[in-house]
Amino acid sequence: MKPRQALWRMVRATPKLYVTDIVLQLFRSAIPLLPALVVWKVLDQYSHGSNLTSGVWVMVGLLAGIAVARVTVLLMSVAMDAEVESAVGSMLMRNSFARILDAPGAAALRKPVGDVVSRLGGDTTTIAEMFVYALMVAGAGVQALLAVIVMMTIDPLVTLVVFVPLAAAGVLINLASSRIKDYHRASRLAAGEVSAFLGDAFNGVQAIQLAGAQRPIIARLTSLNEQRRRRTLRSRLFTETFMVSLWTNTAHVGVGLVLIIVAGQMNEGTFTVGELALFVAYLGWIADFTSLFSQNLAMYKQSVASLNRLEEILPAGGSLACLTTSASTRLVDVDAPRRVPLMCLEVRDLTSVHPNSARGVHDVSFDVQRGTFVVVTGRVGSGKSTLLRSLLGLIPLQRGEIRWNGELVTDPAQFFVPPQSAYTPQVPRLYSDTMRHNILLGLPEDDERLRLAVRSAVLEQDIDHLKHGLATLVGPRGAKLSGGQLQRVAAARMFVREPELLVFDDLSSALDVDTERRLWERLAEVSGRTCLAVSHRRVAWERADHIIVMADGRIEAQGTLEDVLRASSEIKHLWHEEGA
Amino acid sequence: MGTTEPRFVLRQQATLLRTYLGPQWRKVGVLVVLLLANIVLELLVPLWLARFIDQALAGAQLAVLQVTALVFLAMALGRQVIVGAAGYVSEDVSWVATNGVRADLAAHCLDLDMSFHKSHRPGELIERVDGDVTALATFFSSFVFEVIGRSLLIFGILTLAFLADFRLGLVLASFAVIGAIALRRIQGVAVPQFKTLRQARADLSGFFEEQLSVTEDLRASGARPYAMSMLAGLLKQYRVANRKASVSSRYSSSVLEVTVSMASAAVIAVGGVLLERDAVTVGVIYLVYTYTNLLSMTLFRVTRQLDQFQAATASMQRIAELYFTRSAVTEGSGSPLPTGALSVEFADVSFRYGPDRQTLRNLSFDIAPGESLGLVGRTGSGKTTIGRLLFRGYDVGGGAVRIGGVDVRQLTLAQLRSRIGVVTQDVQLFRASLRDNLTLFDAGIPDHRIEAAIDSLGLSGWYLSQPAGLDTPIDNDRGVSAGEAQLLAFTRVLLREPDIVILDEASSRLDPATERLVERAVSRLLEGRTSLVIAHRLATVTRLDRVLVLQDGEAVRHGRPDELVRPGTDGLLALSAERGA
Repeated sequence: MKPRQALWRMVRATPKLYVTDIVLQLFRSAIPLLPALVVWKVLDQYSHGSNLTSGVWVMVGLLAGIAVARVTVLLMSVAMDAEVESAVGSMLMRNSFARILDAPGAAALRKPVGDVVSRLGGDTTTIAEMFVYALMVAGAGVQALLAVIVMMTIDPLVTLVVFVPLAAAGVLINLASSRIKDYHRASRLAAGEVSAFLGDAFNGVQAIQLAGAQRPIIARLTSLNEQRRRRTLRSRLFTETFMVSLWTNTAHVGVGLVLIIVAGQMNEGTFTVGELALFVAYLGWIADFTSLFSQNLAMYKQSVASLNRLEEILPAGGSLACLTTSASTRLVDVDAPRRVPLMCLEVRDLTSVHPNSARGVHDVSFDVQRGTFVVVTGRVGSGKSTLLRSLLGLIPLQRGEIRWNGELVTDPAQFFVPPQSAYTPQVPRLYSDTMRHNILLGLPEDDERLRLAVRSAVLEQDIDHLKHGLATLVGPRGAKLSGGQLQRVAAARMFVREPELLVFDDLSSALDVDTERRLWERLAEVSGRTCLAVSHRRVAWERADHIIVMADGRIEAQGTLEDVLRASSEIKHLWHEEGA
Repeated sequence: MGTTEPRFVLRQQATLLRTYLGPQWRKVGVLVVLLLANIVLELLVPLWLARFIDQALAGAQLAVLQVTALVFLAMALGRQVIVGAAGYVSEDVSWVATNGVRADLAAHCLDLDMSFHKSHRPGELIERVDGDVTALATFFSSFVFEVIGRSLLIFGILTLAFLADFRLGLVLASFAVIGAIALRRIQGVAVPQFKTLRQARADLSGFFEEQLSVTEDLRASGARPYAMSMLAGLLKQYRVANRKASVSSRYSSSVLEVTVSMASAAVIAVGGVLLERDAVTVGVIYLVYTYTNLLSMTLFRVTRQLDQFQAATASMQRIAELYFTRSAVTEGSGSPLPTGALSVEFADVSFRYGPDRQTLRNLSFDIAPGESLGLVGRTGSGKTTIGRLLFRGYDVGGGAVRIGGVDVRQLTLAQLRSRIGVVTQDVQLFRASLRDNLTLFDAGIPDHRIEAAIDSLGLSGWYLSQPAGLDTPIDNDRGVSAGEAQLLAFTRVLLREPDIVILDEASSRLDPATERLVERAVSRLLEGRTSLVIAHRLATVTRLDRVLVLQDGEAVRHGRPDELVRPGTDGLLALSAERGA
């Protein structure tokens, strides 16, 4: 889909909004033409020496009435413009965000978070403002047309001549237009770098403070800022400074030309003072239109650049078409997946390699039977997390088959969500909201179910200690909780969904041995729970029905604890370390 | 919180201008000259037009009329050049100024304490430091010069109108007064609306920043509909705020528009009466009529500047709020510390994060210089807090923390933190080169030192596999495993050669085998240094001199590791502590 088509598609999504706006724009632009007509007639009467007639007084009264009408329309029109701006911005933000959420989790962001946030804010605004301007241009275009018609009826030749400077300015601007796009892109790119760096800095504030590294961090920020200043200035020089100044004064140049041409006619009395005043006034409005038009042209080019930048943050397969889809149903998933009770999960020859490094898993095959506890273990970098994440569709697969009750899972990313499975990542992230909302994430409140989940996650003591209990705010990303609490809130989030398959990635990293032991004990309290977990603790191995030992991205051994202890040097090594 | 008291705001503005425009006085001077030239031309253009009309009506010769017309054209072209140049210079000035504000504000935020950063999302801070400051740009670029320049223009218009005819001048002056009063009354209306709008945008940014960091959790929890409905709520809030702000920002210009129409009507009517008595020419009526429009346009532009300024004021208030947020951890005055390993002492320390729960209760212990202490206990028992109090992420609620016998609050933060190295569970990486990640952008650390540190941690193998060595970009936290990130954090600390080391669950993400790999490096790191090690695993703690067992913020056991280990358990210190309690 071409950018032009994409933009047009957005208009078609809510046509009423745009039609209403354009009708208001027409009134907003046409009314200001009226006062000049009045003044034309009055001045002509004055210069003919026929003074204060009653007609003059009526016209003076008209001037006031016109102003009130114009202001009323203006305010309505401005409100409508804001609606259009919000509608465009909202659609783009909503669609980009929905699309990002659709992609396999770990591969979702193609750019740093700070940069993506900057694009979702800045680039959507650029596009939204372009639409508002386009509507204003349409109104101003009609206004200019009306003005030209009036001027033509007065003096066609003079009317044509005054368009010379306008046309000249138009040519100049078109010559500059391809640069406008490049410069704008460069300046937005620089802005993204500033945001991304700020994001890193605020996320890493503790490390920075501890290292006393504020000064070098600010020095780097300053150099990124400076780069943005240079690029933005260059971009602005063309878009605003150069063009705006060109247009705003073209009217005056046009008036100068009119004066030269009509000097003779005024001498003869064939061109009146009133007509001159009208030409001066209308030339101003026409210049306004051309100025708006060229600005809009520039904005259109910037919008295309912005659309491309939004497209860049969409996950693979994302296009302008999904950015501009009008389906408001995307707001909520229409059909939640149907629960398919797990009997047996079979994984065959699973292979997933990081695109940027050789790290990954190769030819992994294993089974998970209903009601069993399967533990994956191995050293750092042996591929444990990659195994879980590729199984769940969080990172793409290169090869392999996954069967759920014998049936092939074609799209793991779509399939492995609640109620089929739920997952606690190694470093879970929470929202800055209450603990309750973090656990439920939109599920209907059910106290008994919640209590059970909290108990399964060994979280009840922690919650009892908190004054506000489950209503406690957890802070940004759960920062107000300890590492272990955070992981157990994430576990409760998983339990409350009562999935067929529970997947844990390395609880040992934040839980003390005792808590981990209790968690595994409680896991067994509810019969029929099936669990796939990464752990390198003995407490987990001892409870496991099946152990998978990973080494260098391949399965070194699998079976019961006894089996693997016999077969795998790797686990013997780990066993020894753990027990030491 | 920010105050809306006008005098305070004015003082803030004056300070801002002095601080950030002062150093650019040369450019500012050029700008002033350009603006003055522009004002003069703006006044002359209508005057010349009126002259043309009167000449034409008086039947002047064609040549005379043509000369007047040519001069007019020359003035128009001259203005074009001046306006363009002024626009460029003012844009430049404003970027230099706002970049200054950005850097200062970011520096301020980086100095704020942990409780501030735990309650403000990075996305929100980005919006403040970048978004709000961008809104401030108009203040620097156009507000000052436009408002001052336009005020001069208004003065010029009135003077020339009086010179043309004092009665018409009076009409114009009364219009200016009425217009100015009306504008002034309406001026503040939009400020709260703009503040709401900016807040709505900040909420959106914060939302995106947070959500986009949790995409994996979101998917795996099937919480997409929940996230989308939250977004819908925020977008609605934004829509309403946007509409209100847009409309209210037009109130003042609307009032002005009605007023100017009345004034034009009055000028034409009064002019007609005067014309009848031959007191004025048609050219003069047209001149004053044109000046009425110019005056209204000028007043309008001043108000539009004021409107934009309202947006800037809202941003300015939010910036001021941030800027006047004082760190709860205040800078100490500095005090001499012994060199080499330092003692650590917690004397009767109490602490709580909020009103909820006492995190530490009357905790006392000390570590001799060069000694190592292990901290064990269930999650949430207050282990992490002890480390944070030591490097003053927070300050104690009661009691005192001393290093080398000096209360940490008496030391400067730089002094304190230069002596302490911390490795936490969550390693914060930057999208920059490996070198910058290890040195935290300190260009003063030579590469051979970095390589030596990497080598001593047993990371050489990994380091040699990096395609560009120290220049290899660290791409987010992809391509770097949690374990490797932790090893990088060790290197970071090793490079700074601290005298006290805090390892906070530092090796928790390492499997036992990899942990052994770094053990050699850890013992090298701890050697000759005072250390505080927060750990779950026995293997780490047994090598330490002493162990402290914490429960609910109190020390429940304390002793040599071998005293606390119970034979028969599989070496679970925390467990034995709990059963013993």
